[in-house]
Amino acid sequence: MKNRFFAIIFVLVSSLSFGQVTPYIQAIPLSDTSVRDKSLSKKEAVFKFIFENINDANTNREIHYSIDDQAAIVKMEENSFIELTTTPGEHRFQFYYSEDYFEINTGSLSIKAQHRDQYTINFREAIMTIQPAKPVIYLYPKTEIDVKVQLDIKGTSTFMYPTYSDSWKFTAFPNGDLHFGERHYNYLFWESEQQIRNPLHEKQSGFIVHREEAVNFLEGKLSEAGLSSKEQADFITYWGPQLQKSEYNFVRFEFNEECNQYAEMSITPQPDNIYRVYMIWHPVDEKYKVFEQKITPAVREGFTVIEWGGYEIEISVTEQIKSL
Amino acid sequence: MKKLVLLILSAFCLSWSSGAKEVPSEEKGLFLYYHKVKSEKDETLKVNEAVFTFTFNGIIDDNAKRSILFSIDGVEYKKTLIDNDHIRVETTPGKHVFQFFYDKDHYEITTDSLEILPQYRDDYMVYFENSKYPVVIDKPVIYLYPEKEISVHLEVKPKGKMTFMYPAYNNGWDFEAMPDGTLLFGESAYNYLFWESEQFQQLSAEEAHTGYLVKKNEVISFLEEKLTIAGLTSKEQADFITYWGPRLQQNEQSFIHFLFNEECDRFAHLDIQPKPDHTYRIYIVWNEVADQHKSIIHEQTIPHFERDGFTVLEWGGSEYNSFHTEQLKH
Repeated sequence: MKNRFFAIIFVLVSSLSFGQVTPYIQAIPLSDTSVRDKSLSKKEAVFKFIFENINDANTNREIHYSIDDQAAIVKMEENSFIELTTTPGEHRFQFYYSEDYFEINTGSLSIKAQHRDQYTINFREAIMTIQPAKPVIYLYPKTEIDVKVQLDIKGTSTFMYPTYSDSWKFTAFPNGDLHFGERHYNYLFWESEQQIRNPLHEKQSGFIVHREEAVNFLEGKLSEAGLSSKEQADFITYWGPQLQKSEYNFVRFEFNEECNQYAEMSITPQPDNIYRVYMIWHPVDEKYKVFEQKITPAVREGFTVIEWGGYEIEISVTEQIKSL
Repeated sequence: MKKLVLLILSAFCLSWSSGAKEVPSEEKGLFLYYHKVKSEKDETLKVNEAVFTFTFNGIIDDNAKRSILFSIDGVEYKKTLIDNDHIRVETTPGKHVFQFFYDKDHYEITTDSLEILPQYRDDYMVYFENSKYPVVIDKPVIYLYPEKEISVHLEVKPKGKMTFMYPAYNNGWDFEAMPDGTLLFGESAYNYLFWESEQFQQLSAEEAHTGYLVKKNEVISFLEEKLTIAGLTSKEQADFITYWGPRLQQNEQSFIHFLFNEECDRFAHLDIQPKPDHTYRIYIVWNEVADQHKSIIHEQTIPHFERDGFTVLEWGGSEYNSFHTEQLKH
């Protein structure tokens, strides 16, 4: 009975720490020291990992780690290190502290029998550069009106079309046509580059989408969101080919005020409804269970503005090995 | 004896021109991809001596005993590469013009006049460019503008693997086309048809040196100008520019070549029923060209698409991802 209890706990722990894909750093650390310890048996070897660059006031730090894919959580000794007794040979480790830091995946570390090897693991704050790609804005007024759209982009704008100088000024038509003098457009376009904190959190809802389901999945969700078939085509022909590049992707949508972290929009005259939907996604190696996300639908009544955009999260960063 | 040497040289000269036969003789030089990496005085050389070393990058083959045809001031030689990657040319101080030809799968390279000082050893890196390149034919979109509402059947026959199509494609697209460009698939209305494909493509030597060099900050105005000349509407231009503009702006400078109409049959054949009065196609092929690399580029002529009757317009393109470009980035 007791044995079974332990087994259940162990499974829970392992799915908690590594069930959700976390952005990670792939790095092979160099050992600080390697000393022989004859008090160890010939089948034993001890890794000591010292964790640095964690900046919080927690005096009871725990670390999620895995050794050769066996996961566990332990309390740090002296709030800064752990010691793991294992067998001589090659071992791979993963360390995860919290969503504020990148997970660290070591390559294969080799240890000799009766040795104590010490490594320093430098955590890095999970701040990443993203490129919100191709947000496009559609406007559908009730009657022909002159509109001014201003964007407060939380980063560096990299591309805007048509030409943007302090704002876009144009005449909007009920069918969605935007007239900039002689030139007519269906949408406004902007792109930027910015830094954000790790947008992935444990227990975050979303979807795991197979390559072959990508188009059906997007059509389904975007119809639920209330995008028109033309808007869907713009979205799908942009993101579809990218989602098809890997077998599985984790996909999550952000809606409305959640998108203010990328840019705030100010539109005069004030529209009756503004709807924004961003897709954040990254490839995953295999299917795993996520809580299905609920789609917030657009309200298309009165003067309606629709924006869509998104970006890929770069999950893995390979660090150069730093010499001692 | 001297005559014999000359005879041998002229024989090489013949084989050179046959090897580079795609290149019009008056325009032998294509991209001038080279740069100086080192210049050092060597007092063991005499005052009337100077030595060039050329290291070749970008040659793609398994040949362990490569040799190169080169000319200095119009006189041709053939040399085996030292360490399979470089040659040394002993010459006189002053200005010299070089040409390098490896084989027909790599573009020939012509240098400017390179000046060398007496008793100097100057080292150059030379980047060969492979004339074949695998590409993704990105986002061709097709617009249709019939004179009145009609049912259309359209098939794309790409010269490679189809990777993405939208809306769903079953042995063709079947839909109702409206004069304003709306395409009706049952309840769903679209502005365009979309396909993508992976294939191997090659620009001819002539195409590879006809086009434009466009700086990062000129991308939008350049595309607007050329697409307006071609006769694309502002909405079609916006689709094109918001797709290619951000990519082109990642380069300080890009080389751009357009392919038009039947030139685009190399990517795909379009089979449209009923037959349109005009099917216009424009593809953009581009790659990054570093600032320090000079190129001989002849300006391209942009045709104007007359849009009368049932008109179909397609645009697409591809980054010209040559090995050479990869080399430069590293």
